[in-house]
Amino acid sequence: MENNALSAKRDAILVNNISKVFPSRCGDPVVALDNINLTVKEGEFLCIVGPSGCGKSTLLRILAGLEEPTTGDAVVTIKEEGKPVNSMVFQEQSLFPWYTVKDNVTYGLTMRGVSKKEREQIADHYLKITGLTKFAHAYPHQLSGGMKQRVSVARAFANDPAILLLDEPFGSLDEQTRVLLQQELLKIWEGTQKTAMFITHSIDEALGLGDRVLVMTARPGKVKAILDIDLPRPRDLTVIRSQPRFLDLFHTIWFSLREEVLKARAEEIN
Amino acid sequence: MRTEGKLISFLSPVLLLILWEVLARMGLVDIRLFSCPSRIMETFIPVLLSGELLYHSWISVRRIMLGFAAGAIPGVLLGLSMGLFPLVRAALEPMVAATFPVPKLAIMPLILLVFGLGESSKVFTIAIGVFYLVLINTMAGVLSIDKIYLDVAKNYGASRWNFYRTVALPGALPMIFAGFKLGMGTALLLIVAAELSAARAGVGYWIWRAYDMFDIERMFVALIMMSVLGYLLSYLLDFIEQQVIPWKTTH
Repeated sequence: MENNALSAKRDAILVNNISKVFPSRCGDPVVALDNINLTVKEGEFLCIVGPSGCGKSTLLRILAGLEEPTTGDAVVTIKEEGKPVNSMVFQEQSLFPWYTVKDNVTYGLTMRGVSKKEREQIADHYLKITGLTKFAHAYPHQLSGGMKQRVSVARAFANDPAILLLDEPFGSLDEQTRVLLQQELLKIWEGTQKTAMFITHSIDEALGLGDRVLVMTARPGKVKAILDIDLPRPRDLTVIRSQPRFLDLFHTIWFSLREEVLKARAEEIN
Repeated sequence: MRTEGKLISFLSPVLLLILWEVLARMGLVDIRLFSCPSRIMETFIPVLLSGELLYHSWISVRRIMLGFAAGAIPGVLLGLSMGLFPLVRAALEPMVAATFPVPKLAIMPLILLVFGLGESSKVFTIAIGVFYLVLINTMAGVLSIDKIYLDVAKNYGASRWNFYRTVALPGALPMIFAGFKLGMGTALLLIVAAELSAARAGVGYWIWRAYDMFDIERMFVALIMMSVLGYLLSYLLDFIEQQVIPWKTTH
């Protein structure tokens, strides 16, 4: 039912025929993305899964403006005056070591000239909901991996962008921390209803978080399938994992993905 | 173990001094060349109390500080530019690579000809030694900034100026300070040589005067002072570093 609601919403991101070819010094150029077409609705949480090296990160980097597509374009249609188009949560440690937690969280706001008073308010809010208030004046090297990624998430939300781009933000965390952060992310996201694209390896994660899951093919990356995840919200990750519908969807995605993973492996071996 | 270690660290130099004294008194160490601790102290205390030693030390410290600033400031500015702009790097790197290996002492006669015998020649000698080390370290510092921080700055809308201010400079600071410390070592080396020629004060001058007079004790007094100065100056740099780079992990 919520996906009916979704289809009534306006488009947020239009990806038109995006291809990306990386020139390589020896041999043939590498085709990372091959003709990707995609529409993301406003307020949708879209998860992207695919085998390693299928170009999912490249797709996100193109949307983030960090990479130029070889052909095609990506348009964000829900820009708001004076607010950033997108903010990215990076996979690796990306906090500035020379800034405190609070200064990291407000980085985007500082860059676009938001007043100090307003910055403080926004930072306090996101530090509170990520449980980092006590660490506002700590430096990143004093934090655990999970806390660092919380700060990264807070930094992106605090920037209040039209769309959120998350590139395997919890990929390097241990399982327990990862589940905690997924749940926290859901809570923050449900509070803001931001349009989000989330890349992951984990089918579990994609199902737990997403309204839809996009499965990509092995390189060159194409859209293989897009599945609606009709699990009710708000979600409790520990509860929905045991639901039959979750398992159905898990199998569907797994079989779709397995083929691609095997293809990617075969290519690696050759 | 820790207190034991501290005790040994304290005792070993004391034992060495005692050994030196004993060997000197037994005539096994030639006191005309190597003196002995008691004689050095006999010379040290009066020149310290009279202010003579501090006066000469201050002259040297002032030259070091002026030379350090004159070398470090352009070193940082040029190093940042070379790190940030490939074209500036391409233009200047050959010159830096060609002139850096020239020993700074080898150009002292030229410096004397250009700057004369006054203060500026001494300050410039130190400046040139500091300049290269700071320049090269600053450039390396900028170039070694992890690419992810460039992505973050870009994605979060940093303007060009904000990128320099919030990423390039703080990212390079640890390496800049490494350059400062190397530069300070070189400055101490160069001050003695710079005060060899046409100086009328300074610890280096003191050493060469003691050499002329064959006054070994006074020479040792100056060497002790150099060691103290070196320690204090590097302590000062460490202190400033802690203030400027509070995020640097100190174990």
